[in-house]
Amino acid sequence: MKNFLIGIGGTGAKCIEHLVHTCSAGLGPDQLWVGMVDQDEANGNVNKTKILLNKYISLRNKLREEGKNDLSIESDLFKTNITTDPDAVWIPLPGAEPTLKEVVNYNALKDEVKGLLNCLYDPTEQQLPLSEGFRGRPNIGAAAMLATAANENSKFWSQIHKAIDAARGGENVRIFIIGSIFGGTGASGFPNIARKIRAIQEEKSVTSNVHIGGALMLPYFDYEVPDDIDDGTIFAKPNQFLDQTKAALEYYSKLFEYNKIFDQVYVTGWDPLSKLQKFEVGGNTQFNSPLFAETYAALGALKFFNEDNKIAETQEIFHIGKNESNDILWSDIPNVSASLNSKDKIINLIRFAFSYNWMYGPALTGSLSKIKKYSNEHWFKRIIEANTYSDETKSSTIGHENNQKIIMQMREYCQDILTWITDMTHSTVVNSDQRMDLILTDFFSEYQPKENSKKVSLKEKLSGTEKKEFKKLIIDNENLTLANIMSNISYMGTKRDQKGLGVFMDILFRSCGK
Amino acid sequence: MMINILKTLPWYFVGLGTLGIPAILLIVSLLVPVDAENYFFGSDWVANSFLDFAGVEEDGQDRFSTTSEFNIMMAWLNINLLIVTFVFSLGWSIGSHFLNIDEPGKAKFFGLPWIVISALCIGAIVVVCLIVLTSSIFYVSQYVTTDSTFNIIIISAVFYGLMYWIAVILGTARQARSAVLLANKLPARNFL
Amino acid sequence: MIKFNNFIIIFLFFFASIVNSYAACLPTDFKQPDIPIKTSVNENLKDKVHVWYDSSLSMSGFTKSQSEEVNLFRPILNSLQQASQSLGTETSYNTFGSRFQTIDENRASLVTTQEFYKCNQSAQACVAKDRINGFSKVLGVAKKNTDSTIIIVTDLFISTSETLAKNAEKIKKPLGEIFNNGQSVGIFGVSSSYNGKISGIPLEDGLGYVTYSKATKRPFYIIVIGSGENINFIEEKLKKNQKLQDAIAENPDTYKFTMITSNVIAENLNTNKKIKAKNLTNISSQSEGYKFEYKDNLPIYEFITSKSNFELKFDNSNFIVPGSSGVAEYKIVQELWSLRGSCKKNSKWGKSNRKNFISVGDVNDDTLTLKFFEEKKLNWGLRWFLLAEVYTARNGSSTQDEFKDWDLTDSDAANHMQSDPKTFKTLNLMNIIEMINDVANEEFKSTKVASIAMNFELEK
Repeated sequence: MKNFLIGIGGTGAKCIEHLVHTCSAGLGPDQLWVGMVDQDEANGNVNKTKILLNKYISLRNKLREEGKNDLSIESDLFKTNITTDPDAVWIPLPGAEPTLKEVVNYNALKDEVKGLLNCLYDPTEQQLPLSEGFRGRPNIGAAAMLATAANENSKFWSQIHKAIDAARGGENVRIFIIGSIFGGTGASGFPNIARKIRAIQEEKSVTSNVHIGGALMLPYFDYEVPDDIDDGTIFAKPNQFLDQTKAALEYYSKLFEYNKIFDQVYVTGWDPLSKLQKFEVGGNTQFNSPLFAETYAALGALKFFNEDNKIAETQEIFHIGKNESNDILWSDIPNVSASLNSKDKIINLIRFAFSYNWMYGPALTGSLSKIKKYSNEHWFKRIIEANTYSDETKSSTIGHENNQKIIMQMREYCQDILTWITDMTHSTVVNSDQRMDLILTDFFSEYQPKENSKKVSLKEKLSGTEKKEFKKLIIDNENLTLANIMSNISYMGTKRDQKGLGVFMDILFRSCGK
Repeated sequence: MMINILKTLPWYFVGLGTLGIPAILLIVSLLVPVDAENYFFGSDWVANSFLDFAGVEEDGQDRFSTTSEFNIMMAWLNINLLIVTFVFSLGWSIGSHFLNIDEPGKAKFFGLPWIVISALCIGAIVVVCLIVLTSSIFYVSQYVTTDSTFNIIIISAVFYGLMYWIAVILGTARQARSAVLLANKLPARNFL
Repeated sequence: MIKFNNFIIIFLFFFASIVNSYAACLPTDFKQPDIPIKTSVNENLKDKVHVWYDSSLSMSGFTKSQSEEVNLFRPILNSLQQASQSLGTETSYNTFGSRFQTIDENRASLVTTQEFYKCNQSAQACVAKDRINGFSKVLGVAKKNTDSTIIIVTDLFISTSETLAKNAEKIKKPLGEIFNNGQSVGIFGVSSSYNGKISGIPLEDGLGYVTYSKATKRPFYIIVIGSGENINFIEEKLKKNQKLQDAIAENPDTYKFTMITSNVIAENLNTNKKIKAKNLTNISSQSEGYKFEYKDNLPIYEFITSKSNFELKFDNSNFIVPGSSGVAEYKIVQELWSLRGSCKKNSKWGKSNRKNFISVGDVNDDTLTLKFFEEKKLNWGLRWFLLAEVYTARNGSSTQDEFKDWDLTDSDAANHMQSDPKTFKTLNLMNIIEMINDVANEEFKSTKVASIAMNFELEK
């Protein structure tokens, strides 16, 4: 099966962030190609997701290198082989400052067409520079997207073309699109990109094996518009979200009724809306914290891609929400499939990230002479030394540059996981009556809501008392301690095809599980 | 945790058995009647090593019955020593799984508790010897001279101390091996 | 009625079993020790007394008063005569020295007068006879009358030749027989006034003898040969004499006494069951399992204890002849058995080869203390049976040394005389006393004092 994920706009990029983390926990499919669509090339979230994707792919490649450092095919850690292009973002309207007028070649239009355009779009809209997105104007975005061609030569669309070619060859292809129903890029791109894909499919006369799914994000966040903003400035206005949503839903109901573009649609939102702390019109300063509703979209995508998910003949629309109380619980997280328990996997990942970042990563960082103090310990001898031993140097290569790079990268990635879950825990419920009862974060991190780019700062080191709090990290019945993890590491068996640092990483990951 | 304990217990029993089986054989040989026709069992070599036969004859008692009583005393001594060693070694082996070794490099700091427990084990062995050999439980203990008492205590402390040590080397939780003398020299394998 | 009979039968059964159990709980190779039985004394022979007066001329000096000194000869002899009458129904009086003969009571009554000592023979013969004491002859008679009491009154002024060679044998041999028969010799010395001539004093150069008349005081001696009991009777009677008491009060050296005997044991403690429960001093008779019984005159202490050493104490007066030199050393024959397990009939006791587990405490005049298991403790957890037989090993030294003040040796005699002494000493006094003592020691036989058994359980 070939899987493709397209995240549209900032919301799509954020949902991809959630999806990458859940894939690293082993919830994703075996293979997945990821692409993003955003007119706002410099969007903060898009860049963050790009960086995260690169980290994931780099780390995964290093830890699934057969014969060198191999987690083994059975390992859930970085299970999904995510691929993307170096330039993974499709900008519908490239160029320095494209406007709608330029896109439609207004000056070359007939008068009556001009007149129609003037009715649909006011001059401000026609002149709006689109380099920072469609500013909450799906009408603009839709027009711009439809005006551009799905060029097979573009890196983004070439993947779609290849996918459809593979479908013609009998391969099962699933394409999932994530976007918001409100706002700009997402609202405009969600149905139109799907249409474009169907059009390509039709062009290539591929009638089967291509399934399109989508996660449609209803309004789930809100923000305060500053008083000093210029009246003439065009931006996504939160007070219009609901009206836009209402109008969009009417559109989609008609679309789904008459035109089966999507096989499965996952609809979700949030009530009350999460309050974003900072407002930005666009650009790289438009950088929003991860919110819980985005996890639903990510899990929806993973459910769509799961082999147990049978695509029906008729269109299916799924919706999900949390429980009715103000508390967000682990039970609010749906399973990807009957055999993939999302809660267990995510908890496993969080514990892994914690123990690696503060316990094992620092222990394995440095030269061999520094690390050697652990050389008499069972876990080190069995897992590290035995699997990084060099016959030439007659010693472990753990201190070598390559291995050290992997250790550092993994530590960074673990910090990303911890930052993600901490940020989500606080940002989803800040300034609201809601409470997210998933993990305890105060003993290892600090949350500063007013900061834009770095709301969460992780502690450099943890004291003994703080380490004991690990037992309560997950607000759940299970009380796994760091000592339990150490014990599990010492006893868990290695898998046959594991190699190098992959042995340790996988054993540590499994030791953090149930 | 239980599974990890169960994985280590067989090794514990292997360690305990290296000297535990000879101890059991010794106990059996002491409990078998002295006149039993068997080279190993039913012999009086222990009594010949430690019993003051001159004192026995001085009191007008006969060697045979005194040897029988002495063998029974030594058998009970070894049974109790075996129990003490078993309790301490099993207690440590299982308890080591519950030590708060929560990060790399922490195991060696539990060496001090291990030393304390080992010292308590040796102390208990000595106390058991003293109780059996100097109290009023066994009258035949009077025919064990001070030198022989000292020798028995030393031999028991060494033998059962070694038994305890071998048992804990193999029976200690893997993550806690650095706390036990020379346990970390064991090969680190998936099964050991 | 039937029920009552049954009760009796059951009672008798238990009683018998208790008795039997006690009787059965003894080592199989234990032999009952010999206990001397009390022999009845022949009343007819018991109280014969033979009094011998030294009738040598020198003795007459005791009968004359001396103004400066107190005469004790007369009152003492009077008391002695009364005492000898009290000792027995038959008293015979005899003289030795100048005349060796039996005298009648009339003559005996003159012993405190000069008339008694008159010599009717020639002066030369009287002087010659006066020099010879004849003490050995009296002893010769005494040896033939070992069942009588012999009382000898003399100044014991014996020439050196009478103490040497054959003459010495004449003294020693009868003494040997006297001691061998279990008799004792009591020597009373009384320093009394003297007004007469002492003869038989050897010259310095050994050529002859001289006399001395200037003495105002000299001792006379009463030697009693008989049982210790009789000797003590005489002493008691003499000491009651008021004049003697006054004289002793003024000068304690006026009176001296010693008793010499080969057997200081008056009576075996078992004979009349004089050993009691209280003799075992550190085991309470109220303690659990305590029993004290005699089995054929052998006392057996039975008890349960955790003490590893105990003591038996006996009052010396219960078995030692009063006034005698006592016992200087004891010998104990000791046997020990042990038993493991409960004590039943045919229980197999083991004979211990422990030695010297009983020792005698410091020997003194008042008590005999036997200490058990002082050196090496017994092992607990066993039942022990011990048998101790106490014998005398050596008699104590008699108080003869106090007579040394009155002794005059042959070599000092001339000097003594030349010093014009008022109190004249007795020639060869210590020679005689020592001779008597030596013979007594030679005739010493180890005598059993007591036999004791203990049957005890030793707990930790």
